[in-house]
Amino acid sequence: MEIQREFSWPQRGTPQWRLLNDFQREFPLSVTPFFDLGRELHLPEAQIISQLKEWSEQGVVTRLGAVFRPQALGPSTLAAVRVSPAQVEKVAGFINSFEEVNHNYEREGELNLWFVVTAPSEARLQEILLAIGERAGNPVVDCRLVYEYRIDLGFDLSGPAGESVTFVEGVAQGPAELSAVERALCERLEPGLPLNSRPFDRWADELGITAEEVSVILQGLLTRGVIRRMGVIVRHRPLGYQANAMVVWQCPLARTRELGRALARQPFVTLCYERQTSPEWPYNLYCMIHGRSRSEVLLQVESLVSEFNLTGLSQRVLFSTRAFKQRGSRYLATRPPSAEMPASAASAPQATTSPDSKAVDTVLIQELQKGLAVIDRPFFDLATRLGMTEEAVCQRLTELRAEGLLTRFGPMYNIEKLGGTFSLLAMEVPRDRWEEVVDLVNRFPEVAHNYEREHRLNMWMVVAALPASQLAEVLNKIEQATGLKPYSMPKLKEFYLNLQLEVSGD
Amino acid sequence: MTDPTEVFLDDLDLRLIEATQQGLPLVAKPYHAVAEQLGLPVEEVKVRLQRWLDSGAVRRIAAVPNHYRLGYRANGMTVWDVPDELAEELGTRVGALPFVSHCYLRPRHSGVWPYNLFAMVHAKTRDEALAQVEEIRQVLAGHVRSSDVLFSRKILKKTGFRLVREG
Repeated sequence: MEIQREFSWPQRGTPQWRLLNDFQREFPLSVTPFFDLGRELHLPEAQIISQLKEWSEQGVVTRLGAVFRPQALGPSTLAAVRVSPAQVEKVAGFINSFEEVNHNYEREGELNLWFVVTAPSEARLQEILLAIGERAGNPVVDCRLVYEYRIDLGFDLSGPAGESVTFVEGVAQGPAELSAVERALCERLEPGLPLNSRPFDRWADELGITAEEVSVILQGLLTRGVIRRMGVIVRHRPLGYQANAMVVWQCPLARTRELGRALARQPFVTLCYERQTSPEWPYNLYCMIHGRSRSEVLLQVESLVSEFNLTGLSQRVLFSTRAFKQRGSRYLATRPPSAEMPASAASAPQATTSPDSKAVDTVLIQELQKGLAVIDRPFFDLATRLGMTEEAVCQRLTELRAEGLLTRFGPMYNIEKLGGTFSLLAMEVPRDRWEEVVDLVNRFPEVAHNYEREHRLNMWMVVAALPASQLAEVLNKIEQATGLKPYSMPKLKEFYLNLQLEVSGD
Repeated sequence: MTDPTEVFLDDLDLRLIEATQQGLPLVAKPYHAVAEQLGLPVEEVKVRLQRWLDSGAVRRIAAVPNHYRLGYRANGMTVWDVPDELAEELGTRVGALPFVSHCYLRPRHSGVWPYNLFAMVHAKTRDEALAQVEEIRQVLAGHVRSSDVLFSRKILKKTGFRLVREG
């Protein structure tokens, strides 16, 4: 992995080398990060700042900023559509006209246009895919990310045989739950940190919080994995690696994980994913391979096929023939805050002036579902955006709660992380005892939710116990109180929330 | 009880949970209000909540809407009997579908309940929900032995968990 040839890299071990290499990840998140970096590297703060500016201008450093987890800031997908050769340029132009599209390639094969869409909401994403399908005259194939294999690293200047490479894999996760302030910060972070001695001050002012609060919030986003790493982002696409192919296989379920792991570890494989299949596109395992030439890439594919015994698998090698669009996702920064609101709310002109309008309610419910930050005035940002006072926002929330549109507002505790546990309980309640049993069961404070469902097992409740050891006792009490058998169905595995397996690379 | 992931809660933690589990006061400075109620410095309240947020012990500090009242009336618990040896792989794929809000593996109960894979779907109409069920079936591609969809008829209780302390 070499970089721009005309650029001479700082010598290994010098403070400049350390600045580029060590701080791709361990960047200090204080309110004066460059001063702290300077202290660590024994360089004056001003020199750190001017050095980073110089590298940015030379294109060696893309930005000083964050690498976000895919989809953390909004739903995103790789999609493909078949377009007749005569129409390719027109349809590509149409696809590029969406601000939400950040990559768009023509590839060989019958599905010939491949693009990446990152949208503020799932509804918007679907709308775009539909519009593109209509324009192309063929349905768009949505190849949603399912599972990801990757190197847990920035870019190691000491070369591809970096000392300790860790591979990480995990189920693709959906958008992160972000409070309004967190979202506003992510938005500002996308183009990178301003290179001055107190880079958080302006953002803090704009959001009505302190610079210290900015650094605490960013630290929290790192801890939660919304931001994968924060620091110096070095451009590492080697010059001269012109040929790029997406190789896809139709791999049986039972072999997929093992194969994905192995492929991700090949030095010339830059990305390895599992993606959603569909009847028109049955391939589930994807690798990106970059090489100096088409023949080099083809040789690499051949070596994969023989080394991992892939001859039996249906395979496609899709070289890109033209890049119609290629840029980082900027879907937050390029959009006014109202773009996330549903069309009805965003287009309602009275939204900012009439606090009791339906549009405001929609925005309040929508935004406040995402969560608030732990800062002194958590409603400040939202109130400002709505042109309301914080008091008016609180007043409206109180009314919404009274009307039953909101059930409550506050911390949503995850009892499992507090040492407790949950189980789902199902019971068959005789019709003639229904009211009585509902009453008996709902009296238990441990019963968090209770639903009537259409089945012989007609009552389904979520029971919580803290500490976890008390679950059996609660079940017992419910059985005794009702005389009915509760079938307990604790979750054995959860597929939606954080599930990241650390796999060591040695 | 020796689970290493178990968080030790001190008395202040418990008091803070108790004071906030039903919701925060709806005022401009809610953490100040909680601090005042508990007779604590506001920093203490903020630091603990932030720590819980970072560790995931608090998923988020947010509004919990009533989906029924917002028009999402078709809430279907889709349940599937799939082979155990493929259950994790299949669950991963179902969980990745954008309209599936929760996806779990749970135990079967012989003679009563044959299903091991649960996926929740929410839609405004039953037809819309059933279309989502068909998409799940497509993802499960021939591995389904039997399945069912349990629509909810009524919410009987929705309070979230409540910490109960003796004395």
